[in-house]
Amino acid sequence: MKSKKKITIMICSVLIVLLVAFACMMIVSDTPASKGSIIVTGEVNVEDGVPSPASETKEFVVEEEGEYYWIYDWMGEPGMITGMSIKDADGVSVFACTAEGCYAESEPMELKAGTYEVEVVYLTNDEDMRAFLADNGVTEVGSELYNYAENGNWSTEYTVGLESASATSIIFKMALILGVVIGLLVVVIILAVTKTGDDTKNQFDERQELVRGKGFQYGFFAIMISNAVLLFMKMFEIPLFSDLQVAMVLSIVIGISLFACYCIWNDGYFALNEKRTGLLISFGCCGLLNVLITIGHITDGAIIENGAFTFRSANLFCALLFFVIFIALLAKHVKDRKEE
Amino acid sequence: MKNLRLKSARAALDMSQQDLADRVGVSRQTINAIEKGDYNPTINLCLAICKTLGKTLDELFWDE
Repeated sequence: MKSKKKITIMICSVLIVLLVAFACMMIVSDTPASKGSIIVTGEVNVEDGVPSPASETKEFVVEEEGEYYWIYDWMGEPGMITGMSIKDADGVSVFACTAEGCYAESEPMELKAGTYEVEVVYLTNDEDMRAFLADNGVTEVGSELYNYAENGNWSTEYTVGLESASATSIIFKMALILGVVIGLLVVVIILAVTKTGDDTKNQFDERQELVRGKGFQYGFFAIMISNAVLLFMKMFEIPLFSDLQVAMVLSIVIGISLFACYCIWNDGYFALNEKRTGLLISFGCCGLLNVLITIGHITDGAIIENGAFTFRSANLFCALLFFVIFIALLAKHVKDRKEE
Repeated sequence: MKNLRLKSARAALDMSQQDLADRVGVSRQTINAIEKGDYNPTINLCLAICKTLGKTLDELFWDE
């Protein structure tokens, strides 16, 4: 076997193992490690920079001692800067942050069972914000300047959740190991199905090499252009249809689809004497696996959040990739039959 | 431009495109592309085709 071929197989194997491991981690990420959450809502009126009410408080009960991390999630309305702090029964701040709207996770921390006070403070000037952070023991203060609210009304809704750090990490480690094992099995099965022992197999002739080179070129430019578009959208804060990770996956899907379709249409996709059945079966299995995972995510309602695709939709785009390749193969087959 | 001399030389030996492709180590589509004039083969492939069909380079590939 040529060394180039060996390297390609090694890279593909590592990618498959990582993909399956990652898919397993994504599947278990919904495993209930949550120890509850509360929603703090309020109506705040700001007149000449003075908020009314100045803050909202709510209690959070931690039922048993353990290692946890806090999750603070709010998509604030533009203009309202808030500070959030969580204090234990002794009034010591365990977690605090400020922003206009964000998703924040604390470092894992040991918490005792008891009642914790969640306070949301409406901040309307830089002085108050720095005082809030100082009161909560935050010494590293960012230098960014906010546009504080001066006049207006805001409806606020903040979600504070608690998750078990130990449970999550154990589940994630187990999922990772399981994913690696399944990934390795998939690689072994694919190699067993496609291996013939014939060294002349999986070689491309000179015309096919040219076609593949051109295909790689198109795929490369497609990824480069889509990445540039994403970069500009991010720079100019144009709302994306999804989070950045999904957009990156989509850009890779576009590149691979372009390469595959060009090569299929110009007879450069399959090597000399390569049996197509094994490859089509493995494509079908990968496509089906992605469709099943996507259906699971759709059932959970986790594909779209706040009108944008979440990272769980990555499987949907992978399924789309295999579907596009399948359609291209079918169209090429029909074209060849007509020419014959 | 179509390479009809290659096509007729192959047909004279009663060989299919697939037969010729197998003998010279390329795909059937590549032979088809050469005969249709869609692809200009390298000198190595030209020589391999000539040897297989028992013809010279001039007879098959020289543009008169």
